[in-house]
Amino acid sequence: MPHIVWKTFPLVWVTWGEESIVFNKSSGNTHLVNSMAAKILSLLQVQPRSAEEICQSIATEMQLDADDEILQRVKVVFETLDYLGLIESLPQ
Amino acid sequence: MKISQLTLVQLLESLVGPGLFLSAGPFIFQIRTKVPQIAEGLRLLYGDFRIASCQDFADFHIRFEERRSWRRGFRPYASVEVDGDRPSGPVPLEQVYAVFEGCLNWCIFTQAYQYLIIHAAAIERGGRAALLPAPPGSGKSTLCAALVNRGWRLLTDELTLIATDSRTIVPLARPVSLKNESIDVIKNFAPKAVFGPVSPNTIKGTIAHMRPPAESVARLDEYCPIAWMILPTFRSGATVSVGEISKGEAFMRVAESAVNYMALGELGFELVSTLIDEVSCYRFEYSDLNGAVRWFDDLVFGDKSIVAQPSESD
Repeated sequence: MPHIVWKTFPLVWVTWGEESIVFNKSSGNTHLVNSMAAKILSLLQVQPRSAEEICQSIATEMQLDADDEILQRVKVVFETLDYLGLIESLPQ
Repeated sequence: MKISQLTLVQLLESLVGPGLFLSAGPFIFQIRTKVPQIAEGLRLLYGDFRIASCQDFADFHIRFEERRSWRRGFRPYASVEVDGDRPSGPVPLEQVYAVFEGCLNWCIFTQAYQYLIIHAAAIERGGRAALLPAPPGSGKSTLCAALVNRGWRLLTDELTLIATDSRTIVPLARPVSLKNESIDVIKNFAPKAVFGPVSPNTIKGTIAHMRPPAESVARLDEYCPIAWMILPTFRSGATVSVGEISKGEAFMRVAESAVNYMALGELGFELVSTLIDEVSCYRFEYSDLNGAVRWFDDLVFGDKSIVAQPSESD
């Protein structure tokens, strides 16, 4: 079964240390997000990807194995970003 | 010409005739009324403000009329009209002055969207401003009133206007609104402070306004850059206590306190993020006004220990 691919809505943001403020140009809403969420958003802004691809990118960058624990954490962040209206899934 | 240069008769004549054209910061308010409490409040609180010519363009047209109705037992009340709108229902005369001040605020926060409007007080010393965004009841106005009675310039008490191009504060220097116990606290702290009509039994309790210092009104044309964002909280019995807050939290507090952040869209985001980048952000808890003023003075005059030593009694 193919993985769900996600993209961001048009976003701009500013980062201070571990915190980022994200402004969604489509909704006009502003969100305070942590570094993990900001990292995922920045990867999705480059190109739409699945949670599994994002997990692999993050694991490679952190020199870790892309195991199920990282994937579950990434998926939780995806759920939150979807709930906040910052990302949306592409039609399969 | 200033309002203080009018005799009481001249003031009343202009209020019942063509209207008093009050120049307050970037705005001109045309005020028409026969209600004596409003005339008295203007005389006591706005004496240092400039009167614009009635030939000038007025940004807002405000009218308070005294009425009586059998439905209200023939008790007098005031009706309010602003540019054809009615921002308030009938107002008991004992509360009319507080509603008048609220009406001036209403004009600004519903229409002056050329600025970022933040529900905050702002004061200045040494050419730098401290922005005090806080929800009602946090002690913001009490702190502001204390500071402007100890040498700080009043930029604004209730609504802070930030120019979107320069990110400087556009002063209003209108009277400081105090509630309930804060009125006597400031009367004791600054016995020479002048107060306007007292409005009892409002939804916020008793409200009285303190006259702004003449020097603050004289410098209404001097915009001021922001150096500090300070979130004040009054807590009974607390010693002065200070902590830094993160830029992210500071951003969200300013955005939440801004009346028109959402309406400004991406411009609002860019403005607030640049502003927060440029300022130092603190959380500030106090109960003793003398201690609070000392801390603020140290902030300007460079005592580096102010954040490292969070409590003055420790």
